[in-house]
Amino acid sequence: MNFENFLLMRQELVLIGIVLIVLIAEIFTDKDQKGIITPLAITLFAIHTIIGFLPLAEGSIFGGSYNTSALINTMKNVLNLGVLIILIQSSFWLNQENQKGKVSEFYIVLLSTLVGMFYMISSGDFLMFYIGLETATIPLAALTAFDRYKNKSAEAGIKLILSSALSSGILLYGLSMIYGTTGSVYFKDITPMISQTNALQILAFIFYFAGMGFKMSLVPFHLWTADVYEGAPISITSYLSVISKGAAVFIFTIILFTVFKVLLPMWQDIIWVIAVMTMTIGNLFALRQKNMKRFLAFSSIAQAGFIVLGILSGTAMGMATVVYYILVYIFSNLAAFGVVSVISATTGRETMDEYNGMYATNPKLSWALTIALFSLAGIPPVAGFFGKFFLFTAAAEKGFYWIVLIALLNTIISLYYYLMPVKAMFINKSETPMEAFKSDAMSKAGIIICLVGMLVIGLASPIYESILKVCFGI
Amino acid sequence: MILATMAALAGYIPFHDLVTSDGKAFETVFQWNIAIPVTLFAFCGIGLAFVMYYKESPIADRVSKALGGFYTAAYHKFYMDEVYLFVTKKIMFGMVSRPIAWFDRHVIDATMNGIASVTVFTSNSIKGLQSGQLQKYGFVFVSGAVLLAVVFMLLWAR
Amino acid sequence: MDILSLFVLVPFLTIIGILCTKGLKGTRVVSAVGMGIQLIMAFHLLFKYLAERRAGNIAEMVFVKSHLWYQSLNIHYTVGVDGIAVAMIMLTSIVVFAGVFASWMTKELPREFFISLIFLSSGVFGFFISIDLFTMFLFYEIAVIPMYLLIGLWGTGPKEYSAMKLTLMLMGGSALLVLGLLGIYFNSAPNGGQLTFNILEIAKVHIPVATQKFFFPFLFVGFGVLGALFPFHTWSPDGHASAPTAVSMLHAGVLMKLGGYGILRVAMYLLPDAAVQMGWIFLIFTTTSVVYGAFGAIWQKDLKYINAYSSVSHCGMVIFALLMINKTAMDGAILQMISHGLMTALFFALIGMIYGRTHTRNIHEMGGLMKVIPFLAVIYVIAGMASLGLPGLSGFVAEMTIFVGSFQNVDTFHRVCTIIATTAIVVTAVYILRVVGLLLLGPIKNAHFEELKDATWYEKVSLLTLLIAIFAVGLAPFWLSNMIQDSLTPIVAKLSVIAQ
Repeated sequence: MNFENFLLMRQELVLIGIVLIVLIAEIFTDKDQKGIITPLAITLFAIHTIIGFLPLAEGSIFGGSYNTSALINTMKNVLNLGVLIILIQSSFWLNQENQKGKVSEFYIVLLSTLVGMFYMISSGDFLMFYIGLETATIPLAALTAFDRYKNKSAEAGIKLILSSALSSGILLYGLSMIYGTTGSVYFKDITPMISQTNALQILAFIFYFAGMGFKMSLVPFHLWTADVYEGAPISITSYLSVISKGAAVFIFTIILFTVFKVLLPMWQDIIWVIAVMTMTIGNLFALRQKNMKRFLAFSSIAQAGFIVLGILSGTAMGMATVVYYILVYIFSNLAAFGVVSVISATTGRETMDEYNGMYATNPKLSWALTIALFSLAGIPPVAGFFGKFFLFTAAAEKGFYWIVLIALLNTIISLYYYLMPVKAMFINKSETPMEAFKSDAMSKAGIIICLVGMLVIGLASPIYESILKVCFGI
Repeated sequence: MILATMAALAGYIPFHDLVTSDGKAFETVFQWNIAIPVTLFAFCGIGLAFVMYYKESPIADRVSKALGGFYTAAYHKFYMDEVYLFVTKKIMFGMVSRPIAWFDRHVIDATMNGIASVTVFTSNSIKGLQSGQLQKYGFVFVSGAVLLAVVFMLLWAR
Repeated sequence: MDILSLFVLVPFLTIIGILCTKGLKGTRVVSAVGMGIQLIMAFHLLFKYLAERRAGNIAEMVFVKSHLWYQSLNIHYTVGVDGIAVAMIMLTSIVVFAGVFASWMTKELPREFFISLIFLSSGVFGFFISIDLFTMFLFYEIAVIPMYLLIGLWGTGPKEYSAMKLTLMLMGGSALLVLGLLGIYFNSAPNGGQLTFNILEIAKVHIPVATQKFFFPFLFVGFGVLGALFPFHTWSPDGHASAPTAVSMLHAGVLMKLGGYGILRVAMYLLPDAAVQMGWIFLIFTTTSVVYGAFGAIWQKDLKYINAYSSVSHCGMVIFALLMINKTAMDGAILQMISHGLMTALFFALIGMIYGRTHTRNIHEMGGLMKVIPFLAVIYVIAGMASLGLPGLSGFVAEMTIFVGSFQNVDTFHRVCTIIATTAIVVTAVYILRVVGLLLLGPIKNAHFEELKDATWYEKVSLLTLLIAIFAVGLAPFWLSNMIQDSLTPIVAKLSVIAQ
């Protein structure tokens, strides 16, 4: 392995470099110079995101453990965009008094999980996959408990680490059984040895599915989602809901399409059942929610149900719609979380009833949240409509019309609860409406980037087309 | 009076040239065998009325007594009004409209509202699933995975 | 910029114009100017279209422009019109123009109101000019979603409930539509070749009959929800009653016609075998709509509910005529779409103006208005006459054509349905005349009413625009009818081949 090959790991190397630079900056700055960390981290990450778009050769190193291809690079770029927006949006909260002294820890730990996710996506064998997965999960639990002064945060952290431990255990058990039946951990070697009639392999696959379903918040592996999202600081919640979920969806799709492609009919059935359950249960729970964070948590669960619809067909178009929808979902969800976090940080209001009459005092924020909710609901002309339509098209391509119908009916239910905050903001009157406030520049920038993204990604076709070019199907 | 004069003179306006359906003048034949008897009837009516009512005379009373029931029916306009009111009020309003309006509000609307209520009811009844207890989460996780595994192993690994 | 896309661009520019002005005055002027330009453009399009046809252009759709949008799915932004679409565009522009003037005195959040209204109308225009199914559906959704805010914010009565019920039911319809559209798309190339969303290209292929029969109900019901098909009509009474005036005008006048147009252009044109074979099932439902709506209207005491049920009945007549599958009936259906669109817009405008003065919509609480507000009362009487089909006004032309065409089907089933539907005419007369009598004639019930003012200038503009249009269609319908009939030829040809 020579130096050029090593540079194939460009994304991870730059990211590790950023982590080290932030660490050094933390060590060598005095107490009152700490204000420099945030702009430093964001600038470096922006540079990293831009570098990510430069073309990268395909190849694999470490004997096939690490792969990179145009598709994988695209996926990493999508995640980069999301993390950049999250960093921008979190700067306001992070620099408040409560978080003094922990700013650089936030960036170091967060970016480390991102490194883990990148290795997970690029993995060429189950060992690299598992290392990446664990690197992506365990520090996140620490971040979930970031809010030292809130009991809920610590509770969320404990719940996340314990649930992750259970899920990782089961996942590893499955992987070990795969090793037992095939004699190798490399994807290339395993693929021809998977058969539809080997009971142990089926068991292993289901355990693998369970472990990934945990990360993707699929029913019945979703129970941790609501409590953890509610307790964690909003930036971490948004990170969990888009980036962690997105990375899991990406590698899940790749492995299903490559390693387990022989089991296609079987996992189509499994996904069918689980998608229906996820959409329905996510929607039914979201109906009742009044706390905005919990509301968005359950909406994320329902969205996950829609996302796996794209995987159902097993075609290149299916994979493309999944990647595309994650991109759309990142912008929509981060816009919603951005508005909620700004409101929560400035006024402390967290429930839907406290949003009553918001339009009278904060019209722009109201519109921002409305557009984000419309995008999540799938209403034109914002990108969510295109994303959802393409997902349904991908599923319908292979004739899965009934599940498309169920998904469409679920869209109606979801429209109802997405309209609830809109109703609160615009239609309901309030004696004590939210006071008018101006958010700081960074938060504004974050929300505006999301809004622009939502409006552009749907109407500009080259984005979807370029994603489709790099995808592959079974 | 003005109307009468206009009515008398209107017949002279050549409408057949002005109002046509296909651009050509509308020609008909004047049917004398209908026009003459009809006009004669009209003149008879005027004459009768003149005789009966111009001066005070008992002719009108005698005629009405002679005609008896028929006269009463004609006086009440052959009960047309009563029939009309009966048909509209009792039949159309009461027997058709009111049930339809009721049906719309209580059956069709209720169905739509019912779909909504069922959804909310289901939502409320499964809320217990999200209990907050970590042990339960773990249990559901593992049993979910095991259940799936058993089902699919049985289905596929024969 | 081609002539058709302007219809979507001008509303967009109007919205930007509104955003640049402040206050009620500026907003209204910009809206009136914008929609006035739209109206002029509609007439211009009409003349250009007729000129095209006279010059011998017999293509199915004219002024076709196509831009590739999503290559992998063969989605294009394709626009084109035929006679039917031109007629509908004219209807929309007239109703929107009248609606802007009817909303002249919106005091609460006027900018948002006009922006939402115009945004909605842009969706409608886009729907009529599109001939690519994806873009058509995109505009259709745009035309539905602003309704929630429009009714929920500016409405009266149980507005939140009505707004949510309307939005969810209409979105339910579009959910079914997505399924139908995807079904058509994936079957649009049964002999190999590329799948397409383009209506004209799909019309040329023959989709397998079994597939057609699977997807036809989804498409029919999906569009039918918007066209007030029994039993999916129940969003209509509450929705129209709670909506503000211009929204009711636009919704009953134009949006409900999207349903009928969609059924004709998409469900029946692209799935003709299913339309012919399964049409009779839906015919039962539409006949029920016609009669149900009429009888339901008799019982109501609230003016808006009466008109809402009346709209259910008349829109039911549209679909009823479409399902008769012959040229005369379908011609009548489109004429009815236009005629009823104008009439119901006129009615809702009048009701809004009367309500704004008397603050009640209960017909038993009002009376003798003819003496107090003669201008409005006279126009109300004329509107009533149009609704029950008085010759000389547009309603007669439409209904006559529908029933003549429907009766041309010789089999018993169709004849019986026609006879049942004709009873609706009598019932319509009953409720219209009864309301006119109760409302306008007789003694003045409430002493306060004696001080009511008659129509203001902007109200007169709104009402007269619609009235002139109704008279125009009523007195000289042939230019319109011929335009529509020429465009119906390919559709009817496709359907009659199968009906043989």
